Amino acid sequence: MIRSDRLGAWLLTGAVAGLVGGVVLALAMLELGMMASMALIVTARESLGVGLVVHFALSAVFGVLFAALVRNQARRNDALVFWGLAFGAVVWFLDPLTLYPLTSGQPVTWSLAAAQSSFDLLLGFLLFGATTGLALLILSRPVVRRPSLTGLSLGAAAGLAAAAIAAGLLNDQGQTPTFAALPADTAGPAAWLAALIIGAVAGAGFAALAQRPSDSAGAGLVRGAMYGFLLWVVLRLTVLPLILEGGLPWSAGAAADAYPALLAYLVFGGFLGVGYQWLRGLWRVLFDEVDSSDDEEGVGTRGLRALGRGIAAGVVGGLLFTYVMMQVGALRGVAGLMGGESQIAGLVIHLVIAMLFGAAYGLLFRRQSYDAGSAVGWGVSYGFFLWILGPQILMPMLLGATPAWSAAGAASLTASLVGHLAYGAGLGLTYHWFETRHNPWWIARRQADEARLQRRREALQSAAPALWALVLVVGLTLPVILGAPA
Amino acid sequence: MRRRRAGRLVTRLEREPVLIGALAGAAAALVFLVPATPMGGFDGLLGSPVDDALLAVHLVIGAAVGAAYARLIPLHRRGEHASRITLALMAGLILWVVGPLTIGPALDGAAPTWSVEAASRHFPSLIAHLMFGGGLGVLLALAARAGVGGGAEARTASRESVQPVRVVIVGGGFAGLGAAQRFEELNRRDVPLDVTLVSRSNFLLFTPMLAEVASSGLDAQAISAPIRVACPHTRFRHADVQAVDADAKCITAIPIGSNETEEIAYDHLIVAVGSVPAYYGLPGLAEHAFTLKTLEDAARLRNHVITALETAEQQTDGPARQALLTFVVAGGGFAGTEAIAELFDLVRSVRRYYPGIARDEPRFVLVHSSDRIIPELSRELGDYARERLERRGIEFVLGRRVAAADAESVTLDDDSRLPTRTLVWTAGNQPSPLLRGMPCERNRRGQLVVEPTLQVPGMDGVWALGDGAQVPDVHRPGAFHPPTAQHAIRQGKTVANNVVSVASGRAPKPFNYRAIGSLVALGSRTAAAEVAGRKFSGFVAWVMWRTIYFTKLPGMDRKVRVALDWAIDLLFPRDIVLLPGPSDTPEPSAGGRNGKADPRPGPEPVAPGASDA
Repeated sequence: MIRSDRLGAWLLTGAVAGLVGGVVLALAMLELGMMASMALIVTARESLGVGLVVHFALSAVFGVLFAALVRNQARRNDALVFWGLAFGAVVWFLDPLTLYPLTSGQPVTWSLAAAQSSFDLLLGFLLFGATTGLALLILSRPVVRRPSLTGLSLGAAAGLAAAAIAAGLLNDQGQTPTFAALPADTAGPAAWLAALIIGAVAGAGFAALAQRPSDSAGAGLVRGAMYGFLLWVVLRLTVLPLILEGGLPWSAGAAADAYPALLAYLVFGGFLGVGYQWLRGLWRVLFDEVDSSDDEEGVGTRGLRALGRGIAAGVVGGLLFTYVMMQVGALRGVAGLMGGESQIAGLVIHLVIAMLFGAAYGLLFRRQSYDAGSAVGWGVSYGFFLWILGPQILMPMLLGATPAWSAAGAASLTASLVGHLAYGAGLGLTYHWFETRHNPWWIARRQADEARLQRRREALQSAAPALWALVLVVGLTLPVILGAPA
Repeated sequence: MRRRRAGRLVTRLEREPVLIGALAGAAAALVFLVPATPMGGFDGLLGSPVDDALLAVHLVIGAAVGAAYARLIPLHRRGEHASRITLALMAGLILWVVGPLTIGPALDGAAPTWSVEAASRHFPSLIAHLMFGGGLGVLLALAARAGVGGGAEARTASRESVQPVRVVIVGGGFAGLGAAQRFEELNRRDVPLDVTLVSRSNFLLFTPMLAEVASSGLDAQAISAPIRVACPHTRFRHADVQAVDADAKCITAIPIGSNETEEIAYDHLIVAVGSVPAYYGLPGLAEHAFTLKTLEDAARLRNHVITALETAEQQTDGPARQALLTFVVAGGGFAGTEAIAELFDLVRSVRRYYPGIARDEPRFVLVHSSDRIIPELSRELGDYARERLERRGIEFVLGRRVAAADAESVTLDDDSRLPTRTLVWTAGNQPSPLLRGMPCERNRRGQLVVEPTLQVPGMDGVWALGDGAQVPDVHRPGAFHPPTAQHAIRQGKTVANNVVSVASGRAPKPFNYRAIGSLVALGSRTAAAEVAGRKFSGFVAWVMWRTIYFTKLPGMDRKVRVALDWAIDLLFPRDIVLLPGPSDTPEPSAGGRNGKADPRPGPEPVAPGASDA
């Protein structure tokens, strides 16, 4: 995976990739009329020409920095794009919120208001990061693998199914058109058709990025969800509005209006990721001669073991969650799921749910974590997805209402988000502890073990850490930035 | 001098990721966390004075987080900067949720709300924490690049350079396997170990259910778990151990299927050999008695009983027919009682297929030397068991011993004769013959005398446990632990802990275990049990027996197999297929596990019932 190319050449490639990303960002900034103020970094007055020069110089610098950071990461297709996305988010915190005020002599406030007012730049930097990653990928051509027709078809199929789920959820709220950024009064069939087309195409695109993933369906879930976030930024907030409306709805307020679409894309991506992984597995079982699982125990042994550990770990995560719920007095609401009212009923139902989702975690994320960091990473990512799936989808449905997605609604659920993240962290860590305790599989003795260990080490080089950080940044900042009163 | 001191510091830093993590964490906190605290005021960055106490608190928190981060998240290769920094970013975000959003309000005496208002209020702090995480990550990445704090690599390298402690376990029973599995759990955390398990069978036999195999209730495979599956990281040798050389610290073994001997060196030897039947030189027993110690024994006995039924149905000669239909078990301990109950169940369950055999024709006799069976249980439960079995028609000959046997009958010590073609011997066990060659103290039964820590006195690095060791009970001075599976498993864990302790320079601990209880299955969905001082009998005890032993079965697949077999047994009669394989006569030289008659005089008789059922 690691190429031993010379540092200088690699950094130069990074600079070029940064310039490519810079072009995309420059177009957006010109559209938003922000380019002239870039000149303030070096001169006292705004100037478009100086601004452009400064912008591209900075783009190249950030491109070099990005290339240096990911030099030893695995350069798989999806990895560089997700690293780019994460890099973009970090640059936003670093540049417009910190460095720009410092260099232009303004006070650094890091305030919510500042974050809200420069939300358009967050989108810009996310776009810049993803483009830079993609450009770096394409410029370092030898490692790009061409997607196979099979993979694209499987991805399109998974995307179609996932889009149907996401559009169905939007349909319940009368919001189907928002998936494709269509006007709210678009006829149902047209909105559905648009959503399904986007789903199929985006599914194929996901397959082109993810190729033949060697990790579990759980990793697919997280990767897919963040792919969904990328789509929301690139497609829903940028490309589609440019085509349909001729403008960029990049303000925090406009993005808050597109919050239902964000959830839809996250759900779409999550199901796409899992579905693609499963379809790939099915395809391998049905048509591939070589079964790569010959070093595994039987499905029964590993499945039941994963289930048992997941349930036990779910209890630990559930207890952490319970602490959060007790602090904010939310246990009674859970009891409402079964028509009860008491705290005890709420606690019992809550723990049962925690065990069920713990079992699912066990099956989805078996043997994915190799240290405490990765355990927390997968765990909180799973917890974030459950926060979407639970209080924003299943809970209203089970209580007999239709989900009503809004940024303000999500903002009112931040305590629940913290609870879900705590649940995920506890679940992930405990599950990891169970796996280390019994039969520590990374102590290599046999060759098969060695190979498996190698695969897991590759996970560290993969974009998994980028995904975890993105999940946390998206989960913790977006509800606050979009949902809090300006 | 100064240079040497600096050199030592660098070495220390190279080895101690925690130290470098703490330094990096404190530095990152100084730059990012302190200015952003609500009390110090965010404008601290721009010149306002920062409270000293606050500064100290944040430095300590930063250092602690940095140290924990460096300790918990070892990155195996230098250079994955993006991963390193991103993970630290993540840690910063989590710290924001735990700190300002959770602990902060608690310190102010309020309940945390985690509301969007709180989050908005602490938004500057969120970015500060992100920066802190990023700073920590960058510093650690730089440190790794400079070659310091490469924790995982340094540890791995130092582990690899240390010669692992060689541990050899002899015996693949409950004790040996328990030790091996414990070593696998310890391997990662403590001294490097190289564990080899030598056993002449490649599976663990779940002996509590052996009688059910003999009675066609369970398949043989269901109660045997492959050792390689149970402890996949232990080196397994399928071999017969011939001798122990305590001076040279090695054992001699002959791999099964080979004639060449192999020497295996050890630093610690764990002798966990089981017991073999002891006949005490009684005439005819070695030739004519069935035993119930191995899968072959069980299969042989099962085939023999079915053949006896087949033959008896065609046999009209009175005495010969009677001998064929009389089943005698010698020994009224757990094993003997369960054996007679299971034999009764087998014959009763399949008798309908042999219309020539009358219902009351088959005879079941249990010969026992004392006046109460199952001496391990209380008298009350022992009597209960006897009454239950007597009511079914099983006869008890108490206060008598088997004195001799031939092909047609069993002679008791009062010279009375019982015509039978089936004698099952569970009345005596002796430790494996291997122990006799070891230069150390043995008790009169031939068990090795060991310390409470399971060490064998006078033999450096040798430990003994299980059936072959006399383990003192620390709770009852002068008494010893019985040779049962539940003790053997715990002794296995203790010995593994102790070997690791000794290897890492700590003192071993004595074996300290109180038996939870004992259970005996009496067939026909009844059992007797004594758990934590309470007595249970009948169906409830039977459910307990099945539940407890079911959970103890090694491996999920075995559990599924046994559950299926039990379900089939519930719905259908037992199987009477004569299986190919072991003959239906006792192995002429049945001397136990080694399959060889042992010409040497055995130790003194063991009290009947001391067998490990």
